[in-house]
Amino acid sequence: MNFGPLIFLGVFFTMACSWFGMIVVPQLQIGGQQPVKLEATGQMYPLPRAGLAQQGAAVYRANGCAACHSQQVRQGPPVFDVKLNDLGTNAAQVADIARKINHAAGAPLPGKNIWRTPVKKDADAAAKRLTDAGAKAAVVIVPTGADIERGWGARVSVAQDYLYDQPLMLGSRRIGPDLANIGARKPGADWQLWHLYNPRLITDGSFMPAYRFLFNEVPRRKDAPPALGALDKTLVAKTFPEPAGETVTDIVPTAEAVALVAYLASLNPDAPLFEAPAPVPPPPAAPATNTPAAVKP
Amino acid sequence: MNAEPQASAPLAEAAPKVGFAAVPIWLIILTALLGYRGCMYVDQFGGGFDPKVYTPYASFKQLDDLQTKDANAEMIQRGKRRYNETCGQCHQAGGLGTPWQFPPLAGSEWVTAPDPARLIRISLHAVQGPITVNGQQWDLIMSLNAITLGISDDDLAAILTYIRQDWGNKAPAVTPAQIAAVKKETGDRATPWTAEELKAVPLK
Ligand code: HEC
Ligand code: HEC
Repeated sequence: MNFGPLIFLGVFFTMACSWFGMIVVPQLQIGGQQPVKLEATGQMYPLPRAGLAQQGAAVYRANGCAACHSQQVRQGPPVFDVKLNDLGTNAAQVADIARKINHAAGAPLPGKNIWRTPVKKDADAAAKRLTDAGAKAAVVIVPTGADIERGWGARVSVAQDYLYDQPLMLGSRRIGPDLANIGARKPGADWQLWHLYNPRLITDGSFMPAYRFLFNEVPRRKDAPPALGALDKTLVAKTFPEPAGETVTDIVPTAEAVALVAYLASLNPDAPLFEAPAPVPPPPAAPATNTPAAVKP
Repeated sequence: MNAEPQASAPLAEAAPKVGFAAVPIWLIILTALLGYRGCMYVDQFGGGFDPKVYTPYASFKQLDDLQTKDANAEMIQRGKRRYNETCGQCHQAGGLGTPWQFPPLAGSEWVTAPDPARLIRISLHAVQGPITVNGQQWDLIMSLNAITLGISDDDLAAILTYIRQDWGNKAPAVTPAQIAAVKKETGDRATPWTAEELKAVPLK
């Protein structure tokens, strides 16, 4: 008997089902996703990456960083903080209610979290009791989970975060830490550059490969001025082995390294979205500077 | 020396045959159990196949409940809409009124007094006769009010909160309870207030 056609049909339908479920349906559902306007700030999210950061994404891809680094934050169920924003005119009564809500709350001060609970309804009720007494209270949603406690992100990663990424470099292994929000975690460009030049200068025993080929090593006489754009060695003075003799080596990042670091700095998906509620992030700090503080991890 | 060719009968028996055989019953049961577990899993973590739902959230409704809804902002939104449909016809969308016809609400001490007792009375039963607003003298009749306009206590609270907190005005919100209280105090009054009468209303 010839079972060829039957086997063909079996394989065909199996493939067709998975193609339909994993390609067609998601494409229909989120294929047309557009940037959204954030309620908190009125800004569009996400914004396209700046040109340099976009070039950096290509460097990231070319060097296989995604083989060791994922870019997706996972999250557990959120908890809710009841936050006191303003005591109002009836401070004594507000303090009394705050104590009733949470014995351990201590003295209620403006800007203080009174209580944390996993149940939104309870938090809302507590906030309402405070508001009814004339205070201004708000319920703040706080994502939890191992990734978030490590400081790897503010909330779960969702499709919206990757709208302008092509190709997606989500990664599937975490041989190194997740880099989804590395732009917020390690804002110093010098830290990143030194770490790329040789991770062991910064992290003892790191087994991330050194990307020395992204840097030019320029020898110069000790008393000559340093090369233009050379990295500041005082930041890694303890670990950087300087050859004996009359010459020293300046480490000058190539355009690729600079672009890669711009890309890393652009990674910070923390905007509160409908599908990923999170506290409103503080406004971005002043642009990263070359201060030694940036080197400390 | 060549071996004698073996008899072919046993070989033919060992060769695989093409045909049908019954699937063992345990395999069917195992497949069914796995399928059941799979359905349970999808039901539990599938988020109702909604593209907006990601783990750890379970459903669109749960996410919707989690959105921080600013009750005050919502009230002001509604108040603005209702204001433009009612009081705004006379006092204008920007709250500046019209010279010689309608006094301004922006910056008016009648609107921004910390205690809204007088403002609620004006909006419920209107005001007529000489009245000073922002240092300017007016002598008109407010010919419509919240009752004749058919505004509910809820909406009026929103409107008053809006006019007390927009256009640079900064006064505490008004609650429906405050309006109901004033209604109880004033009973079935239907005539407009005068500025003199209003000034006699004690402010907390
Ligand atoms: C062989 C796996 C591997 C590859 C490939 C790799 N890394 Fe790493 N990376 C690590 C490990 C392990 C660490 C943690 C130790 C450390 O800080 O050096 C790390 C740490 C980092 C950190 C610091 C993260 C933090 O939170 O401290 C950054 C940034 C980083 N890598 C960027 C990159 C970039 C950019 C590339 C591609 C050019 C890359 N990595 C390629 C393994 C890798
Ligand atoms: C038909 C036009 C009209 C409508 C509608 C109207 N007003 Fe008036 N309003 C007036 C006039 C005219 C005066 C001035 C009365 C006077 O001179 O004594 C006035 C006076 C006032 C005053 C006191 C003076 C001031 O400017 O602060 C307040 C407060 C006020 N109105 C609020 C409201 C509110 C709230 C509503 C909606 C419920 C409303 N008005 C609807 C015409 C109107």
